[in-house]
Order: sequence, then C-alpha cells, then structure tokens
Amino acid sequence: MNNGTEGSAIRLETPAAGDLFEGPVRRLTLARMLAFSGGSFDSPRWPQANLHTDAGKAREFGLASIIASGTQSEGILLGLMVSLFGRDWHRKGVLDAKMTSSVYVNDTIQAKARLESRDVKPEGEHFVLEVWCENGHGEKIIVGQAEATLDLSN
Amino acid sequence: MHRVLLLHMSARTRSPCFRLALNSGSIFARERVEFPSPAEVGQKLRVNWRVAETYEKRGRHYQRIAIAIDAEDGTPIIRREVHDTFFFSEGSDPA
Repeated sequence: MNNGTEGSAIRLETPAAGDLFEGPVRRLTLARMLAFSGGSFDSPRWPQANLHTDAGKAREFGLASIIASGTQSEGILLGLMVSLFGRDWHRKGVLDAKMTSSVYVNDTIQAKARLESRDVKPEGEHFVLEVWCENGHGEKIIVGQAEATLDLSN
Repeated sequence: MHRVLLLHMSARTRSPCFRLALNSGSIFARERVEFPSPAEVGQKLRVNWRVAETYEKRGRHYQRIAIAIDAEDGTPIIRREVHDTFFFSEGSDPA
C-alpha cells in the first residue's frame, strides 16, 4: 500500500481497523468547476450553460448559486483511493457512494477514509473502508464504502 | 487515466439518447462503481447506458441507470449503477 497523500494522518504500511486516512484539502474554485463541467475547451460555446456553470440556469431551478457536479467531488475521493492503493485500485476497486449535500463555489473538500477491515484472500489482500468527503464546515457531502484488493504477487 | 474522467464521460447526460423534459433537471444521487481494468491514454472505449429501473422515493422520481464502459476488445473498464433524481422548475409538469 502506498503512503497516502500529503494529507494523510498516519503511515499506511501496517494499517489496522479504525485507522483514518485523509487526502489533501481541495478548494473547488469557479475555474475548476468551469473546467470540469463547461464541456470541451475548444467549443465556441464554452463554457456550456448548466447548473454547474451558469448562475441563471441554477436560479431557474431554485438554487441560490451554481453547484459543483457530484462527479467532481467523487473524483477527489477517487484520488485518495488511488493514493492508497495505486494501480490496484484501477484493477479491483469498488466504490459505493451517496451524494448528501451540494458543493458551492470556493467550498473546500477533503476526502477521508477509515479502514473497516482487511483480510487476506486468494486473490490478494482485501480492504473495506468507510469513505466520505467533508466540506470546510465539517459536513459530509459524500458518504459511502470502498473496497480494494492489493495484489500480493507484486 | 484518472477514473473520474471516465465517470464524467459516461454520465447519463453524455448519452446521445438522453433528453430532459422541458424545465426539468436531474441530479446525481448515488452510485456503485467497479473498476475492473485500467484505461490507457489513446485507447478507444465504448459506453452503453441502460435505464434499469424507475422508482419513486419520498415523493421524488428516480432512475437507476446501468452504465458499462468497455475497450474495443470487450475488456470491461467500468461498471456503474447510477441513481439520478429529477427536479422541476416552477410551472413544469413532472408527470
């Protein structure tokens, strides 16, 4: 297992149930939201107007302002998983995630994971983690569970 | 390739069949996603979307969409089950 990210609280060489892993704090600036949800950069209509890029569109649906795509926040959580499990995440990773709150421009997001269990199975070392992302107020905006299997033959 | 790029490119809104009713929008509510194989830069991929279920929960309309991304040789790259809910601006008809 890799040593996590700059935000990790502990070494991950010998993780135990209950250990907490933290990714870096990311700020979802307007530029990042436009880059993610605005469509192709080379389109003459960039950024495409939608709930994630255009205040008028957001207001049409009763939102106070634009909100980040849930997938963009999910990507920050996936980044922590890649930091923890490396290429094995790309081969045997599973994420079950629920969006629980909206993310607004300039909100910060931090991905976190707490190890629930680890077991050695024929296909490798299997990890189950409770995972979530928090905003700057400590509110969970994504909650879920992740599973990954480390290939012990490497 | 970072997996979020593949998730982003396989959102239900990317399907050529995806249409929203007038004055309606959809919100990504939850998903289960499996990553059985990596994808490399330059690789050609195919995405399939299938509306697997529609249901109501606490007065809201939901769709469960099964999404598969495969390489050209059929290697599974991503398997997703995405739940989306819908909302409607004032004066629209959700029926």
